[in-house]
Amino acid sequence: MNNKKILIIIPAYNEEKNILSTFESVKKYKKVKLDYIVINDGSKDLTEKVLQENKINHLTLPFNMGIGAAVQTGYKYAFNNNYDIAIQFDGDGQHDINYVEKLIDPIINNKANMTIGSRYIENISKFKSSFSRQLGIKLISSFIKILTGIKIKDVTSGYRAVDRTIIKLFSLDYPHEYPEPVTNYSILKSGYKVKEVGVNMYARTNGKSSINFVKSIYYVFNVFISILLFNFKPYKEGKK
Amino acid sequence: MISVNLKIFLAIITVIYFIIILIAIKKQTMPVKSSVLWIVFGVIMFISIFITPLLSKLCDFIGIEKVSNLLLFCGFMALLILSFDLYKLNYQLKKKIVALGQELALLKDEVKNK
Repeated sequence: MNNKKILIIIPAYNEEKNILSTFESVKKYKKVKLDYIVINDGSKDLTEKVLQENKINHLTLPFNMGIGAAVQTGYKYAFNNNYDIAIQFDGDGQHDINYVEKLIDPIINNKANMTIGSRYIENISKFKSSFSRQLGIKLISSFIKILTGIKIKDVTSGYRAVDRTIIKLFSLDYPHEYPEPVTNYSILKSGYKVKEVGVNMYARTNGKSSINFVKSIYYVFNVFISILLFNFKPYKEGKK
Repeated sequence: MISVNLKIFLAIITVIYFIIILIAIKKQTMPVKSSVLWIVFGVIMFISIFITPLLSKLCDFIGIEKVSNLLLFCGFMALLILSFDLYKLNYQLKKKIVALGQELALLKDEVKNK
Protein backbone atom coordinates (compact mmCIF):
# COMPACT_ATOMS: atom_id res chain seq x y z
CA MET A 1 0.00 0.00 0.00
CA ASN A 2 2.82 2.39 0.86
CA ASN A 3 6.39 2.56 2.08
CA LYS A 4 5.73 4.88 5.00
CA LYS A 5 7.00 4.02 8.47
CA ILE A 6 3.91 3.78 10.64
CA LEU A 7 3.75 3.53 14.42
CA ILE A 8 0.78 2.71 16.63
CA ILE A 9 1.03 4.38 20.04
CA ILE A 10 -0.90 2.46 22.69
CA PRO A 11 -1.13 4.25 26.06
CA ALA A 12 -2.04 1.92 28.92
CA TYR A 13 -2.81 2.66 32.55
CA ASN A 14 -3.96 -0.26 34.71
CA GLU A 15 -4.95 -2.30 31.66
CA GLU A 16 -3.84 -5.76 32.82
CA LYS A 17 -7.13 -7.27 31.56
CA ASN A 18 -7.26 -5.48 28.19
CA ILE A 19 -3.71 -4.90 27.01
CA LEU A 20 -3.01 -8.44 25.80
CA SER A 21 -6.14 -8.63 23.63
CA THR A 22 -5.42 -5.13 22.29
CA PHE A 23 -1.86 -6.17 21.44
CA GLU A 24 -3.06 -9.38 19.77
CA SER A 25 -5.54 -7.48 17.61
CA VAL A 26 -2.74 -5.13 16.46
CA LYS A 27 -0.41 -8.07 15.84
CA LYS A 28 -3.03 -9.92 13.76
CA TYR A 29 -3.71 -6.90 11.57
CA LYS A 30 -1.84 -7.39 8.28
CA LYS A 31 -3.45 -4.92 5.86
CA VAL A 32 -0.88 -2.26 6.70
CA LYS A 33 2.69 -2.76 7.88
CA LEU A 34 2.77 -1.35 11.38
CA ASP A 35 5.15 -1.01 14.28
CA TYR A 36 3.72 -0.51 17.72
CA ILE A 37 4.75 0.82 21.11
CA VAL A 38 2.81 0.45 24.34
CA ILE A 39 3.32 3.27 26.83
CA ASN A 40 2.78 1.88 30.32
CA ASP A 41 1.77 4.99 32.22
CA GLY A 42 3.05 3.92 35.65
CA SER A 43 0.35 1.26 36.05
CA LYS A 44 -0.19 0.00 39.58
CA ASP A 45 -1.68 -3.34 38.52
CA LEU A 46 -0.01 -6.19 36.61
CA THR A 47 0.17 -4.39 33.23
CA GLU A 48 3.98 -4.30 33.35
CA LYS A 49 4.14 -8.04 34.08
CA VAL A 50 1.77 -8.83 31.19
CA LEU A 51 3.89 -6.67 28.85
CA GLN A 52 7.14 -8.32 29.92
CA GLU A 53 5.86 -11.92 29.92
CA ASN A 54 4.45 -11.53 26.41
CA LYS A 55 7.51 -9.65 25.15
CA ILE A 56 5.37 -6.72 24.07
CA ASN A 57 7.43 -3.73 22.93
CA HIS A 58 6.84 -1.05 25.55
CA LEU A 59 8.10 1.99 27.42
CA THR A 60 7.41 2.31 31.12
CA LEU A 61 6.96 5.73 32.63
CA PRO A 62 8.38 5.93 36.17
CA PHE A 63 5.05 7.11 37.63
CA ASN A 64 1.51 7.83 36.44
CA MET A 65 1.68 11.02 34.37
CA GLY A 66 -1.74 11.03 32.75
CA ILE A 67 -2.92 10.21 29.24
CA GLY A 68 -1.51 13.40 27.68
CA ALA A 69 2.03 12.82 28.89
CA ALA A 70 1.84 9.11 28.02
CA VAL A 71 0.72 9.83 24.45
CA GLN A 72 3.34 12.56 24.09
CA THR A 73 6.01 10.02 25.08
CA GLY A 74 4.76 7.94 22.16
CA TYR A 75 5.09 10.94 19.83
CA LYS A 76 8.63 11.57 21.10
CA TYR A 77 9.42 7.93 20.39
CA ALA A 78 7.89 8.25 16.88
CA PHE A 79 9.88 11.41 16.19
CA ASN A 80 13.18 9.98 17.49
CA ASN A 81 12.72 6.86 15.38
CA ASN A 82 11.76 8.73 12.19
CA TYR A 83 8.21 7.51 11.79
CA ASP A 84 6.15 9.11 8.99
CA ILE A 85 2.76 8.43 10.55
CA ALA A 86 1.75 7.89 14.16
CA ILE A 87 -1.58 6.46 15.24
CA GLN A 88 -3.05 6.82 18.72
CA PHE A 89 -4.82 3.66 19.78
CA ASP A 90 -6.33 3.10 23.23
CA GLY A 91 -5.07 0.19 25.27
CA ASP A 92 -8.51 -0.53 26.72
CA GLY A 93 -9.83 -2.36 23.65
CA GLN A 94 -12.29 0.36 22.55
CA HIS A 95 -10.74 1.01 19.16
CA ASP A 96 -11.20 -1.28 16.18
CA ILE A 97 -7.87 -2.00 14.46
CA ASN A 98 -9.62 -2.83 11.17
CA TYR A 99 -10.08 0.88 10.47
CA VAL A 100 -6.39 1.78 10.53
CA GLU A 101 -6.09 1.64 6.74
CA LYS A 102 -9.06 3.95 6.33
CA LEU A 103 -7.72 6.27 9.04
CA ILE A 104 -4.30 6.75 7.46
CA ASP A 105 -5.50 6.90 3.85
CA PRO A 106 -6.08 10.72 3.78
CA ILE A 107 -2.59 11.25 5.28
CA ILE A 108 -0.89 9.01 2.74
CA ASN A 109 -2.72 10.82 -0.09
CA ASN A 110 -1.76 14.23 1.37
CA LYS A 111 -5.37 15.15 1.99
CA ALA A 112 -4.88 15.62 5.73
CA ASN A 113 -2.17 16.23 8.32
CA MET A 114 -4.33 14.64 10.98
CA THR A 115 -7.28 12.26 10.84
CA ILE A 116 -9.77 11.61 13.62
CA GLY A 117 -11.56 8.30 13.95
CA SER A 118 -15.20 9.23 14.51
CA ARG A 119 -18.14 7.33 16.02
CA TYR A 120 -20.59 9.96 14.84
CA ILE A 121 -20.20 9.90 11.07
CA GLU A 122 -21.07 7.26 8.46
CA ASN A 123 -23.07 5.41 11.13
CA ILE A 124 -20.45 2.68 11.50
CA SER A 125 -20.06 2.52 15.26
CA LYS A 126 -22.91 1.18 17.37
CA PHE A 127 -21.17 2.35 20.53
CA LYS A 128 -21.77 6.08 21.00
CA SER A 129 -20.80 6.68 24.67
CA SER A 130 -23.00 7.84 27.57
CA PHE A 131 -25.60 10.62 27.27
CA SER A 132 -23.68 13.07 29.47
CA ARG A 133 -20.50 12.49 27.54
CA GLN A 134 -22.25 12.86 24.17
CA LEU A 135 -23.73 16.15 25.38
CA GLY A 136 -20.26 17.32 26.42
CA ILE A 137 -18.84 16.28 23.05
CA LYS A 138 -21.59 18.23 21.21
CA LEU A 139 -20.91 21.35 23.29
CA ILE A 140 -17.16 21.23 22.68
CA SER A 141 -17.72 20.44 19.01
CA SER A 142 -20.00 23.49 18.62
CA PHE A 143 -17.50 25.66 20.46
CA ILE A 144 -14.71 24.64 18.05
CA LYS A 145 -17.07 25.20 15.08
CA ILE A 146 -17.72 28.77 16.29
CA LEU A 147 -14.00 29.47 16.67
CA THR A 148 -12.71 27.78 13.52
CA GLY A 149 -15.74 27.34 11.25
CA ILE A 150 -14.98 23.60 11.02
CA LYS A 151 -17.13 20.91 12.60
CA ILE A 152 -15.46 17.95 14.21
CA LYS A 153 -18.15 15.61 15.48
CA ASP A 154 -16.12 13.20 17.60
CA VAL A 155 -13.94 15.82 19.17
CA THR A 156 -12.74 13.69 22.11
CA SER A 157 -11.84 10.64 20.03
CA GLY A 158 -8.48 9.19 20.97
CA TYR A 159 -8.30 7.16 17.75
CA ARG A 160 -6.26 9.50 15.58
CA ALA A 161 -3.47 9.47 13.03
CA VAL A 162 -0.98 12.24 12.30
CA ASP A 163 1.75 12.88 9.76
CA ARG A 164 5.43 13.63 10.37
CA THR A 165 4.85 17.40 10.74
CA ILE A 166 2.31 16.90 13.52
CA ILE A 167 4.46 14.19 15.14
CA LYS A 168 7.18 16.81 15.51
CA LEU A 169 4.79 19.42 16.89
CA PHE A 170 3.28 16.98 19.40
CA SER A 171 6.66 15.67 20.50
CA LEU A 172 7.68 19.23 21.37
CA ASP A 173 4.42 20.49 22.80
CA TYR A 174 1.39 18.42 23.73
CA PRO A 175 -1.23 19.42 26.29
CA HIS A 176 -1.33 17.09 29.27
CA GLU A 177 -4.85 18.13 30.14
CA TYR A 178 -7.77 17.44 27.75
CA PRO A 179 -5.32 16.63 24.93
CA GLU A 180 -7.72 15.48 22.18
CA PRO A 181 -10.15 18.42 21.95
CA VAL A 182 -7.42 20.97 22.62
CA THR A 183 -5.09 19.58 19.95
CA ASN A 184 -7.95 19.21 17.47
CA TYR A 185 -8.60 22.91 17.90
CA SER A 186 -4.93 23.91 17.93
CA ILE A 187 -4.12 21.95 14.78
CA LEU A 188 -7.08 23.48 12.95
CA LYS A 189 -6.23 26.95 14.22
CA SER A 190 -2.60 26.54 13.09
CA GLY A 191 -3.78 25.95 9.54
CA TYR A 192 -3.25 22.20 9.19
CA LYS A 193 -5.69 19.92 7.41
CA VAL A 194 -7.88 17.74 9.62
CA LYS A 195 -10.23 15.07 8.35
CA GLU A 196 -12.77 13.02 10.27
CA VAL A 197 -13.08 9.37 9.27
CA GLY A 198 -15.88 7.03 10.27
CA VAL A 199 -14.62 4.15 12.45
CA ASN A 200 -16.00 1.47 14.70
CA MET A 201 -15.51 1.61 18.46
CA TYR A 202 -16.47 -0.78 21.21
CA ALA A 203 -17.64 -0.22 24.76
CA ARG A 204 -15.03 -1.07 27.39
CA THR A 205 -15.03 -4.77 28.18
CA ASN A 206 -13.05 -4.54 31.41
CA GLY A 207 -12.29 -1.77 33.89
CA LYS A 208 -13.79 1.67 34.30
CA SER A 209 -13.56 4.70 32.04
CA SER A 210 -11.54 7.55 33.50
CA ILE A 211 -14.40 10.00 32.86
CA ASN A 212 -17.57 9.85 35.01
CA PHE A 213 -20.66 12.12 35.03
CA VAL A 214 -19.31 14.83 37.35
CA LYS A 215 -15.97 14.80 35.57
CA SER A 216 -17.65 15.21 32.17
CA ILE A 217 -19.37 18.46 33.27
CA TYR A 218 -16.13 19.74 34.74
CA TYR A 219 -14.37 18.50 31.61
CA VAL A 220 -16.43 20.67 29.24
CA PHE A 221 -15.70 23.92 31.11
CA ASN A 222 -12.03 23.11 31.40
CA VAL A 223 -11.80 22.30 27.70
CA PHE A 224 -13.40 25.66 26.87
CA ILE A 225 -10.77 27.45 28.97
CA SER A 226 -7.90 25.35 27.57
CA ILE A 227 -9.04 26.04 24.00
CA LEU A 228 -9.22 29.77 24.64
CA LEU A 229 -5.81 29.71 26.33
CA PHE A 230 -4.25 28.09 23.27
CA ASN A 231 -4.63 31.42 21.44
CA PHE A 232 -2.03 32.89 23.79
CA LYS A 233 0.43 30.11 23.00
CA PRO A 234 -0.07 28.92 19.39
CA TYR A 235 2.12 26.35 17.67
CA LYS A 236 5.22 28.18 16.46
CA GLU A 237 5.45 26.11 13.30
CA GLY A 238 1.81 26.68 12.42
CA LYS A 239 1.08 27.49 8.81
CA LYS A 240 -1.07 30.51 9.65
CA MET B 1 -5.11 51.90 68.08
CA ILE B 2 -3.15 48.78 69.00
CA SER B 3 -2.65 48.20 72.73
CA VAL B 4 0.86 47.95 74.22
CA ASN B 5 0.23 44.31 75.17
CA LEU B 6 -0.72 43.45 71.59
CA LYS B 7 2.33 45.31 70.30
CA ILE B 8 4.61 43.25 72.56
CA PHE B 9 2.82 40.04 71.54
CA LEU B 10 3.15 40.84 67.82
CA ALA B 11 6.81 41.81 68.28
CA ILE B 12 7.54 38.44 69.95
CA ILE B 13 5.74 36.61 67.11
CA THR B 14 7.79 38.53 64.55
CA VAL B 15 11.07 37.72 66.35
CA ILE B 16 10.12 34.01 66.41
CA TYR B 17 9.32 34.29 62.69
CA PHE B 18 12.81 35.74 62.05
CA ILE B 19 14.44 32.94 64.04
CA ILE B 20 12.56 30.29 61.99
CA ILE B 21 13.67 31.96 58.72
CA LEU B 22 17.30 32.15 59.86
CA ILE B 23 17.31 28.49 60.96
CA ALA B 24 15.84 27.50 57.57
CA ILE B 25 18.58 29.43 55.74
CA LYS B 26 21.29 27.96 57.97
CA LYS B 27 20.03 24.41 57.45
CA GLN B 28 19.74 25.16 53.71
CA THR B 29 16.10 24.07 53.61
CA MET B 30 15.32 27.43 52.01
CA PRO B 31 17.32 29.06 49.21
CA VAL B 32 18.93 32.39 50.14
CA LYS B 33 17.43 33.94 47.00
CA SER B 34 13.80 33.45 48.05
CA SER B 35 14.56 34.05 51.75
CA VAL B 36 15.07 37.75 50.95
CA LEU B 37 11.34 37.99 50.23
CA TRP B 38 10.45 36.37 53.56
CA ILE B 39 12.89 38.60 55.47
CA VAL B 40 11.45 41.74 53.84
CA PHE B 41 7.99 40.46 54.74
CA GLY B 42 9.12 40.09 58.41
CA VAL B 43 10.72 43.54 58.48
CA ILE B 44 7.48 45.10 57.18
CA MET B 45 5.54 43.20 59.87
CA PHE B 46 7.93 44.41 62.58
CA ILE B 47 7.90 48.07 61.50
CA SER B 48 4.09 48.02 61.10
CA ILE B 49 3.70 47.29 64.83
CA PHE B 50 5.46 50.52 65.83
CA ILE B 51 4.06 52.96 63.29
CA THR B 52 0.39 52.74 64.17
CA PRO B 53 -0.29 56.54 63.83
CA LEU B 54 0.87 56.33 60.22
CA LEU B 55 -1.17 53.20 59.68
CA SER B 56 -4.22 54.94 61.19
CA LYS B 57 -3.93 57.62 58.55
CA LEU B 58 -3.59 54.94 55.87
CA CYS B 59 -6.73 53.28 57.27
CA ASP B 60 -8.65 56.56 57.02
CA PHE B 61 -7.42 57.01 53.46
CA ILE B 62 -8.42 53.53 52.31
CA GLY B 63 -11.62 53.43 54.37
CA ILE B 64 -10.72 50.63 56.78
CA GLU B 65 -12.02 51.23 60.33
CA LYS B 66 -9.26 49.70 62.46
CA VAL B 67 -5.49 49.26 62.09
CA SER B 68 -5.80 45.59 63.13
CA ASN B 69 -8.17 45.06 60.19
CA LEU B 70 -5.64 46.68 57.87
CA LEU B 71 -2.86 44.41 59.15
CA LEU B 72 -5.09 41.37 58.77
CA PHE B 73 -6.00 42.43 55.22
CA CYS B 74 -2.32 43.00 54.33
CA GLY B 75 -1.42 39.61 55.79
CA PHE B 76 -4.21 37.95 53.79
CA MET B 77 -3.11 39.62 50.55
CA ALA B 78 0.54 38.70 51.14
CA LEU B 79 -0.43 35.05 51.74
CA LEU B 80 -2.61 35.05 48.64
CA ILE B 81 0.25 36.33 46.49
CA LEU B 82 2.68 33.85 48.03
CA SER B 83 0.32 30.88 47.59
CA PHE B 84 -0.25 31.89 43.94
CA ASP B 85 3.51 32.11 43.46
CA LEU B 86 3.99 28.68 45.04
CA TYR B 87 1.19 27.23 42.89
CA LYS B 88 2.94 28.49 39.75
CA LEU B 89 6.26 27.08 40.95
CA ASN B 90 4.61 23.75 41.73
CA TYR B 91 3.14 23.55 38.22
CA GLN B 92 6.47 24.43 36.59
CA LEU B 93 8.20 21.72 38.63
CA LYS B 94 5.50 19.20 37.72
CA LYS B 95 6.05 19.89 34.01
CA LYS B 96 9.80 19.46 34.43
CA ILE B 97 9.37 16.19 36.34
CA VAL B 98 7.06 14.82 33.62
CA ALA B 99 9.60 15.80 30.91
CA LEU B 100 12.35 14.08 32.90
CA GLY B 101 10.21 10.97 33.36
CA GLN B 102 9.52 10.82 29.63
CA GLU B 103 13.22 11.20 28.81
CA LEU B 104 14.08 8.49 31.33
CA ALA B 105 11.62 6.04 29.75
CA LEU B 106 12.94 6.78 26.24
CA LEU B 107 16.59 6.48 27.31
CA LYS B 108 15.92 3.20 29.13
CA ASP B 109 14.42 1.86 25.91
CA GLU B 110 17.45 2.99 23.89
CA VAL B 111 19.83 1.33 26.36
CA LYS B 112 17.73 -1.87 26.37
CA ASN B 113 17.81 -2.08 22.56
CA LYS B 114 21.58 -1.51 22.23
